[in-house]
Amino acid sequence: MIGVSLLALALGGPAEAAEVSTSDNGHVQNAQFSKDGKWLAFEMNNLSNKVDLWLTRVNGGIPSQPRQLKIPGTSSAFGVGGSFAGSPVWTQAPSTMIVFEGSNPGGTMRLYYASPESGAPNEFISVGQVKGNLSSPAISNAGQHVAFISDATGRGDVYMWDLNNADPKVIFTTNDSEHAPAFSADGSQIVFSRGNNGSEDLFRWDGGNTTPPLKGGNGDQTRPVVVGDKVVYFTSERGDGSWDIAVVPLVGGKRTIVARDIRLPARSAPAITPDGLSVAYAMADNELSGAIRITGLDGTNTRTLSTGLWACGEPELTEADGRLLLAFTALPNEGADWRRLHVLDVTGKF
Amino acid sequence: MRFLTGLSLFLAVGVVASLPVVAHAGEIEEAEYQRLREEMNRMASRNAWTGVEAKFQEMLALQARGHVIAAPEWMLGVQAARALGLMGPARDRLGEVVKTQPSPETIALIEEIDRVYGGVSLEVGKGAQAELKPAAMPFVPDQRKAIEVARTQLLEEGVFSGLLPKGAYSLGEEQFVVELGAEVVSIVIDPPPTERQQKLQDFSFAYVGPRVDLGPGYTRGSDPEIAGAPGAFGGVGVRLGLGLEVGINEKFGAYAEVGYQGLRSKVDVYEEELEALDYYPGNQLRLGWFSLGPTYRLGDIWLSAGLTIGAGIAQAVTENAAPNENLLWNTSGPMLTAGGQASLSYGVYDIGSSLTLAVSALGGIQNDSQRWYPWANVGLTLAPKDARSNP
Repeated sequence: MIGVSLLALALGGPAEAAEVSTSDNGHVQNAQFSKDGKWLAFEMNNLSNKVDLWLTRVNGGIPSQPRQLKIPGTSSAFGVGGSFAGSPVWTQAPSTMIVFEGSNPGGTMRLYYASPESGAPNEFISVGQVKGNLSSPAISNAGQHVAFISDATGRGDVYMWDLNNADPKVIFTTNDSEHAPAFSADGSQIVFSRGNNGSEDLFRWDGGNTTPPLKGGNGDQTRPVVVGDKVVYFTSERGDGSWDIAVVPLVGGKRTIVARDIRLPARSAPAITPDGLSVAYAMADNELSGAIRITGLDGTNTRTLSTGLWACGEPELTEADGRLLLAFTALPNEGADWRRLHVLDVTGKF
Repeated sequence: MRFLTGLSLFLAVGVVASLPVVAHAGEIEEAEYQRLREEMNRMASRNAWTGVEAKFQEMLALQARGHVIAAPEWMLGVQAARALGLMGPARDRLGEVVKTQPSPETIALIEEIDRVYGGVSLEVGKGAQAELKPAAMPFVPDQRKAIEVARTQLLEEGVFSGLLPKGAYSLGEEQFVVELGAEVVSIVIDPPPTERQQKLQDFSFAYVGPRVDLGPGYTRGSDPEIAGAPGAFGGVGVRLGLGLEVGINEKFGAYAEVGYQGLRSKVDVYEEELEALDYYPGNQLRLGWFSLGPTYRLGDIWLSAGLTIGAGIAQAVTENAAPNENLLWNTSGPMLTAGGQASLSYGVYDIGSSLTLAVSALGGIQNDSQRWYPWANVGLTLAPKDARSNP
């Protein structure tokens, strides 16, 4: 079920890219490599109230047959509404594990985890620990903490799970809804977005009781990812449905737009290169949508990789066994119905 | 005839119709099974795993009554057990799933459990303060829950037998490692001793050792209390005792001895008469005895007192029972005695590090229901030295 197509590369000539296929029809979105680059999780959205999570092992840049991660209770015929399994994040320490959101039909959104080897998900935070819909899991680099959002109070509050006591606690309370927490490299700070007069702004929590604003302004500033002393995020500050990628210092300061008019991923944060120096993205402009671009976090040194496909999006990069792998979604041709997932070895191509 | 047949049919139908509807046992169980299945699915969709587990237990009870549990319900049982950290049952239920509906996912999950968990059998005696602690708490929630389940069970019930994630643990002072593929780790923490047991554990005798009493003595048989018996008699003999003496503390202790006590005394008879006799012409006593009682020590001065029982042979002679006739009336036979004795000793010489030799004066009295036997002797006593008072 794996199709292999030849992609024309603007840099370095043609290269083989593997297309990951599944038996279901649907848009592939939000692909996320495991930290060691050996696993790739992705969502399948059939646009009919159902989002599934799939997992494939990637060996030497070649993805294997994917398998679905079915959350417990999925077989139930009870309940109405759609089912969801998505928003995967990976932890490597102390072991490689995937954590994701999941909801049975009629059920609440909860967090699940699974070992990629067994692929048998189990609930990560029990209802007895934290009630409400749980979402946006983020794992610190050392695997010591997991931050997530619960709407148990009717708003989105940031909770922290600690490895030492596994007793999640809300870390601060506000009257607004928080979203998309992201850890700093050392795990001591969290950057997140907060609903603010109909849009989202960025704030920072550094372990105290205050959450100083990091970046506000027009439109949304959302889905932050912390890279060293910088925060990379999506912003719609220019309006008109345009999305850009911006960078702001973690301690606050002037923001820099590093990419304009990008194609906003369905759920994921900006894709950072493994060396932490650049961000990958696809362009919203149809004329430019067949390429994946990489730009330095200082806004310079943009490089373009032409794929020969249509409407590329949602790039994700990892390094595995010394190889640089790129995963992205694209339509196989202009009139295709569904986005497919492609994995490409781009070592030396950027 | 036709009428009767019709009436019979009518009655028969009426009787049948009026009978209560009784379903077969299998149908009742099937209906109950379906109810449980629906409730389990409903609760599973809400992640109410405690409820799913409770319903699954009811389903297991149905299974005990002969109903077969289908693979999807076994799988729900797996998911409930796993969510609750019951990894042993989860592993067992996966085995049931594989029997009827094997799948790569199921087998992979079994392999993962086998790759991560090892068997333990832990027991903490009632009252023992022994908490289960992993060297490092694992990240994976089902592993954490498995540890928490074990810890809770040990605290509440004192026993846990099941699966724990591989790794190092401590249970109270005991350290152990759960390894894969190894034998079940078995740890038993004994309950703490009661106050009385602790005192007994802490107790040690001040001294323990042999006790020997040896010396000459005089024993007298008093006038009999029954008519016709020989009169009072007495004599000297040796008294020997061998036994054990223990000191509960430096002052108080106890002794137990067995020994021999004898007396012998000739009577005045004619020589020609004596030649005709085939027995000893006099009084004698050969008594084996056992004595038990407390001791008291005040430095080198030792006191003891105790009850004594004895068994042996006595012979008493009535001299010149009939005037002018040199007749010797001899009465002999077995005897049983009971009485008491006391001693006073003075330690004079240590023998080695554990024995002391003392000079003693002993005395006592016994009764064999016919007469009293007071006695006294002097001699030597060898007894254990008090190691604590004489380091």
